[in-house]
Amino acid sequence: MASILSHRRGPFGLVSSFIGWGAAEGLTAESDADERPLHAGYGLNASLGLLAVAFAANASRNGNAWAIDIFYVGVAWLFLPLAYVAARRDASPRQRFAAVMLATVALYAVRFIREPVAFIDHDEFLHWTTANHILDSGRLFSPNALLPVSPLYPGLETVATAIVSLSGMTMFQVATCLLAACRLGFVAALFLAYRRLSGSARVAACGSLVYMGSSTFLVFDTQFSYESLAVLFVAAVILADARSRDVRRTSHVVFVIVPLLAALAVTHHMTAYFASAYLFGLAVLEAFRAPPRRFLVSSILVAAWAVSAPIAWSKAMGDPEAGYLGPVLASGVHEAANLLTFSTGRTLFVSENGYVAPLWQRVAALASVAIVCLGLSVGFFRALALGGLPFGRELIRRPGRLREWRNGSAILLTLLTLAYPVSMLFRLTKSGWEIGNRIGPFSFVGVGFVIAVGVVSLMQGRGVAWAGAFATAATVVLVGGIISAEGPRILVPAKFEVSSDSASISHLGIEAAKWSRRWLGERNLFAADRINRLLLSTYGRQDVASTLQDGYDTSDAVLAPTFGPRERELLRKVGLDYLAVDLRITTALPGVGGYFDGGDRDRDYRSPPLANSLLKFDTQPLVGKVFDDGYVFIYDVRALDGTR
Amino acid sequence: MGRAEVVLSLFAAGVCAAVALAPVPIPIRGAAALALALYLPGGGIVAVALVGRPSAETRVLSVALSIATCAPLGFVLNALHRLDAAGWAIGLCGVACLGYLSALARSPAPRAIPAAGPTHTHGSRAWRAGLLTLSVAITAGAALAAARGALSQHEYRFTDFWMVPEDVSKPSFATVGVRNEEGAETSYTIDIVARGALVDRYRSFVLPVRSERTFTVPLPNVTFAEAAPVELSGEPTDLTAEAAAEKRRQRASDTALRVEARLYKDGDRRIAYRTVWVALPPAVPPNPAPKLPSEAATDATTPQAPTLREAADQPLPSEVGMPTVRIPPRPVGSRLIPDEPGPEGTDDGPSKPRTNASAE
Repeated sequence: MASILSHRRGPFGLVSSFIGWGAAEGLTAESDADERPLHAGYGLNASLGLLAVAFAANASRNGNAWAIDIFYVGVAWLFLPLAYVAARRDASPRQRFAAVMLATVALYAVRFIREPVAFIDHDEFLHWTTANHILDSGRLFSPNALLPVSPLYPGLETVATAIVSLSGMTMFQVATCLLAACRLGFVAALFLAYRRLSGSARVAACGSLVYMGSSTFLVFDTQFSYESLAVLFVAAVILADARSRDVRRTSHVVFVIVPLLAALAVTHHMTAYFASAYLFGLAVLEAFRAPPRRFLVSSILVAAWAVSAPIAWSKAMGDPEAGYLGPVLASGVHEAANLLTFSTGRTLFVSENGYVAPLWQRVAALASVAIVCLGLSVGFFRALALGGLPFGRELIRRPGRLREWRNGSAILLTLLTLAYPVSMLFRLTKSGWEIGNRIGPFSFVGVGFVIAVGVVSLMQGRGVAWAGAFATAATVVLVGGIISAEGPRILVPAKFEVSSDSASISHLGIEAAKWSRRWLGERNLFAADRINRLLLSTYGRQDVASTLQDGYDTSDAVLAPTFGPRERELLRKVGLDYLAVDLRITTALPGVGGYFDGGDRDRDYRSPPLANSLLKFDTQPLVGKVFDDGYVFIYDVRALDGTR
Repeated sequence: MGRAEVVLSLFAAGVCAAVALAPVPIPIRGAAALALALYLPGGGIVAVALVGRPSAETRVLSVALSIATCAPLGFVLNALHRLDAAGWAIGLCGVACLGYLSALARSPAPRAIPAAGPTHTHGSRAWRAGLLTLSVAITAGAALAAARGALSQHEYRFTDFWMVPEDVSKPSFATVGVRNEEGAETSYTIDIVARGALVDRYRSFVLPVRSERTFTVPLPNVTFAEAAPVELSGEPTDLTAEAAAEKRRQRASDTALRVEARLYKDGDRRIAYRTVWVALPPAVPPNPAPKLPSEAATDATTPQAPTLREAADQPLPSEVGMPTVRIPPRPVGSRLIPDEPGPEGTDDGPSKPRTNASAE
């Protein structure tokens, strides 16, 4: 470090050297001709890491508390050597690419080991329901009460049902293959785009590895959920745009970028808006840069298409995300504003049901944030310089150079990192936590690039110790990202946990849902808690009542201490056929804050609901109890409606 | 992309579409379907649009474009009501073929130039292949171990018990079923109880693990003749639809009959292990308008399924060797399921769901 800063004098000189103020524009070029492949031993090491992860997963299912620690050790074990070889000065571009792709495959295998036989994550059930509706009806856009916006953005489900129809495989098998293709395609596109933008395979490799520290990388963006597909489209658009500036711009725009943006518009709203903002920003940068502006017209046309396609689709679908995202965004912004005045906030590392993360996990999560911030401070101005926007004496001497950037994409990715602190702010709030989590995958596109530029600039001409330091830091960022998103819930526990999504999917609940399909038929309208309605709508093929769909919160009737006219009227209005009651929710506080939809009655619990509240249906003369497995009861409430 | 590769891809698209529609094993169909949906259409577009040597970039864009193609194609097939295997096979194969045929019509791409740089590898080819095979084997083993762990995780040991009317609109029979998920062979006894009296009993039977057994149980019918009089005097006769429905619901609530099925496990008859029931509201009169008590009396003459009393007087399918149990008429204002034990000491009193089912 001392040698890096040695050519500057004084505190300002040291700081400006560290942050890259006035850094040179380029990085050392690498030869594409170097074709040395990656040593097969790295594959063997990764497989041993996976073995440790599988051991941890089974240990967790058997109730061993140390399983989580072994899991993270396994992840670090498989990742660290690959990060090291990808960052080494003497590695060939082929070795770097292979190391990044091997890390991607291994981390996807971690996801598979986590859920090897069936879907377990909440959002997967939502989209599985939409896909089932498409398969059952042979039509798109069938309503989905669990997530009404899902059928209106059917990109993922369309592809999945196409493969199911063609292959005869189950939805889980198809999802596993499809998501593997999306994940590999996404990381490959990111690597290749970084390489195009920086001209360095080393930057590309380091940037891709840093991106894997995004909190959504390991689990959320490999779920059977629309964002998992949408991020592939975005990365492909960034790659195609970068590529088109070197070769065949028109063909890329017409045959690649426009179709990808169209598909993105019908796949995921938030990602489509991110792509709109990115391409709009590129057009603005192109318009303001000093001549020659070779790509001005095409950039404006692409930006216009990128902005108009998602808006037009949203309007055509009835503007569904306003009611879906609007309240979350408003609440998150409100809480973030309160947070800035120290009025309110989320207690970090403490789950809704009171679980406190172990010390080492808290340290790792905070260290990962610190490393990212350090990396951004090192890389920000260097990345701007790489884009042709040098700060320092050159800028002071010739202010006109401020508009002479060559690489608008690099500059935009650098500016994108400003979203990272915003996402951190949102993550400190209760309502905005999800917003912060969702900003992550987009801000990290810039974060990966900027940190990689900064790190590679520092590492140029230096020994393997620097590569080792980078690999260690990248591993901490990866582990910290997983902890901040999943924490102790990364593995399925031995015991059922109340309203804790993947920890609440049990054989018992699945059997009850399957029973409903077999004995009651499909498409009956059920009311149930958050977990059982996921199972009923997928394994059971039932319709479920939800506040999102019809505005009625059936938890008011289910959790009420008595069953009076108000509760009866509520069930009558909803038009329920059956009611599924799970007595297990009386045993603990909800892991995600609510047992049902998180309505007025269903939040801020200090104790679990009373069993008597759930059993009040036993005394209703017109209510039949058609199913009992000791925990889950299914009540037939059709006769409560006097008209039926 | 070279001419040979284009021709090969064109051929592959046709074969994949044919295989996906053929009655072949699912793994083969799956491979064809994945190639058809995830690579070939995008490969066709890239072949025609991005002329040049194939590279990692064009491969990645092929995958992204293939998946992207499915969305608009899905809308077209949806409009044509052809969101099925044939529609997808024709559509995807069509897009791929269109792209590759257009690429064939263009001038061929330049040949790939072999790399001139160092290609030194660590160890021999056999050594690399061995390491790779070992890695794949270990990874597959890890995945299989995880799958085995997930499939063998059964925290709960339980018994599913159910009672479902066979015809919702006019229930004359119900299906009572038991499924054993206790993890061990288990013996069960089922009692059918109505108004606190034993109607039927299915004596001890044994179910192996993960097996089930069902029974058909005749249900009595309840008519308005058996209903307690509902006072309507002083109320307007021109009730609104909502008020009429509420009145009908109230009357049905007063006269509904609950037929319970109680499950006993392993000979323990102290408390029902599981209890389910059907609530039998009175048969709805043909005229949906609200009826006065005098009118309701005439409904009793309408031929219906056997009433509870009649049903109880007749031997039930499983009653061979069992004493016939007469059902006492329900006094007005009494509870549907009385607390006192049933006749002959066979009733175990009010059923209470047992929520502490055995768990591992």
